[in-house]
Amino acid sequence: MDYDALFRRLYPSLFRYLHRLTGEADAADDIAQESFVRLLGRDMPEDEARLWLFTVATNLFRDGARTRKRRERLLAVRPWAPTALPRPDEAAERAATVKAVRGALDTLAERDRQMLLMREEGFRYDEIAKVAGVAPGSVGTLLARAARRFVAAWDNGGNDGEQALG
Amino acid sequence: MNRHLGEGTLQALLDGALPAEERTAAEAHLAACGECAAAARELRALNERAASLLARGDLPAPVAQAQMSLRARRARQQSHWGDARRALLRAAVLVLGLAGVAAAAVPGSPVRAWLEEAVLPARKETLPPGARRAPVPPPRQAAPPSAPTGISIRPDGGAVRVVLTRASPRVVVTARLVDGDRAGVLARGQAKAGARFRTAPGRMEVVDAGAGEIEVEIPRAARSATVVVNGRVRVVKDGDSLRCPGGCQHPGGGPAVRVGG
Repeated sequence: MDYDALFRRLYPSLFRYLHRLTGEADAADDIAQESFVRLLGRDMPEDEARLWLFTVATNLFRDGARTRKRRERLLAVRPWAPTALPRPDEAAERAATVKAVRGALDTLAERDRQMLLMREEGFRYDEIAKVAGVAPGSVGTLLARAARRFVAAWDNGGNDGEQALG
Repeated sequence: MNRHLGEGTLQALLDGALPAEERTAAEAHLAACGECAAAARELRALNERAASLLARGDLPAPVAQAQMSLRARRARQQSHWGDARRALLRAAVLVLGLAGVAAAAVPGSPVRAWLEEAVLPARKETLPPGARRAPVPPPRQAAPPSAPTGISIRPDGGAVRVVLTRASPRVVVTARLVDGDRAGVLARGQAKAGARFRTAPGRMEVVDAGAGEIEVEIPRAARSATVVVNGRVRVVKDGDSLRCPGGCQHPGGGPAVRVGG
């Protein structure tokens, strides 16, 4: 297995998945790299390696999220509120958009969020079912429900003015 | 077809996740069912909107930067692993060394025996060239017979008295007459070890004579002479001869008195 070539092929997808999941580029990069480090020394086909990487990355995010949530409970952080848009400069606008997407995703159950994002990365239903721990026959239903909730959360968060975002 | 397609089936159809047979059946149903076809169109639009929204916050993946960082991280990990292995090796050597020293310190241990028999002689033989060997003391030679020690006095008023106190029971005292004008006491062998000599007018004393020989010389010209050993008079000058009140032997020139009997 050409590790560097594999990294170049799989990293963009893993980074995008994690960035959507975490809302933070640095965290996404850290988790992605840690996942690739753990892949070292494991010889497996690329398809299998890809699913393995996403599974490990999801678990890493989940472990970190538990710690974050515990800290947030202790600090009594106020609930997420949609960010007012638009922002004057591009970087601020992008940051606000990321935060808004993240906020809408946060309204989904963790499993649904993970399934939706994996589907966006092109995973098959059986792969999504395996990582999410659900029956393969229920993946379609769960995905449709997740997409509906995500869009509804976006709209309900005051982000219906899509033109302002793009 | 009477039964409408469920949302899960529609979603799987849109995602291309239905098996071929189910897909054919679903597509046939959509072609015949306006309600399900509308639901499919609505679901497709919803999915496309969700995908569009998700992509809005995307950043370009920093592939090159991440790859460099990952390479550095791998190198650090390998270095840390190497350091850990070296540290473990050093620790193992230290433990073995300490165990060896501890074992060598135990009398009778196999390690000590091996050191004494194999290593130490070998080290003596493998002195590096040019190195100075520590000076080796010459082999001890048999000590020549040491000169007797003793004292001598002139008889006081013609009389002389020789006194041995705390003499060893194994000391042999030999008395003989001499032609000179001085009386003397000589200690030979172990008799002189620890022996101390004292003199006074007409009197000589030997204290703590060890096992050995004490030789007493009495001038013939002395009017009187006595040898006292541990409080007992053992030799007396009687005229021109010596006698032993308690008995004595006469090996050679004079009487010999063995203190211990």
